[in-house]
Amino acid sequence: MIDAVTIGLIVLSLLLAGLCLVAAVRDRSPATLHVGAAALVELVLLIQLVVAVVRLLLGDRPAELGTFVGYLIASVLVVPVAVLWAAAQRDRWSSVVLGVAGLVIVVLVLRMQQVWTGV
Amino acid sequence: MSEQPQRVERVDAGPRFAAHTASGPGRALVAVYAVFALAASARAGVQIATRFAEAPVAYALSAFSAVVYIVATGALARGGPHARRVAWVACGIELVGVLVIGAASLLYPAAFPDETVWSAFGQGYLFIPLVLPVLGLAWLRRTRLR
Repeated sequence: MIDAVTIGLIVLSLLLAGLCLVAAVRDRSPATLHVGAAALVELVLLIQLVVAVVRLLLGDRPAELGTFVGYLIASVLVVPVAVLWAAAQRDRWSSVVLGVAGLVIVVLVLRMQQVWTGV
Repeated sequence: MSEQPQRVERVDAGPRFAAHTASGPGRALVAVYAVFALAASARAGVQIATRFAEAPVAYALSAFSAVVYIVATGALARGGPHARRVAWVACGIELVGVLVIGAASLLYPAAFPDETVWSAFGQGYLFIPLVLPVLGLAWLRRTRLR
């Protein structure tokens, strides 16, 4: 939607997924580093949410409005839910859960980009 | 997506099963299932709300697959004898669904003018819809009664 935010989100989310993969392979549960990375991703997602809402209010319209709004809502929910689900029982699989969330964000951001531009 | 984290406490409370379906690897499985429950519901919702007449078969199937994913997610997250039975059925339906719809969408593309989660064996979703029920059934088998 906005190139800098999109690229930043993809890089951060891939980083989160990569860090979590390493933790899972080493049989570790997520540490401060991973939760911090997740928080950073969520922060940028919230910035994206605000920018998107402002642009929608100003009259910009994505190619598929309904789908875009759906992705927008989902995008800010994924990381918090994943962190809660990962924290409930802490082992290597918590790291996998958090890593999956990172990959889901990558897909969501790419799809939001597609849906906004209609390409 | 509203799984109660407290439920995992029952891992130790129920020694009859090898493991709770939402413990260990099961937590990751439930997470991926939840993603597909959300994705399939959202897709079906948008398709049916905006253009149901264009491809009623595909969109009805999208809605059906969404329900199956929601049931599977809930059942795997909950665990216990009853939920396990529900999860077996849901994962079984899912496997049959992805195989039948996958084959049908390739053999009779005209009947599927728009994609469903299960079209072409879940190709549009990195074939995860094909792998997921196999993992789900394998996990249920692994954690069954000792």
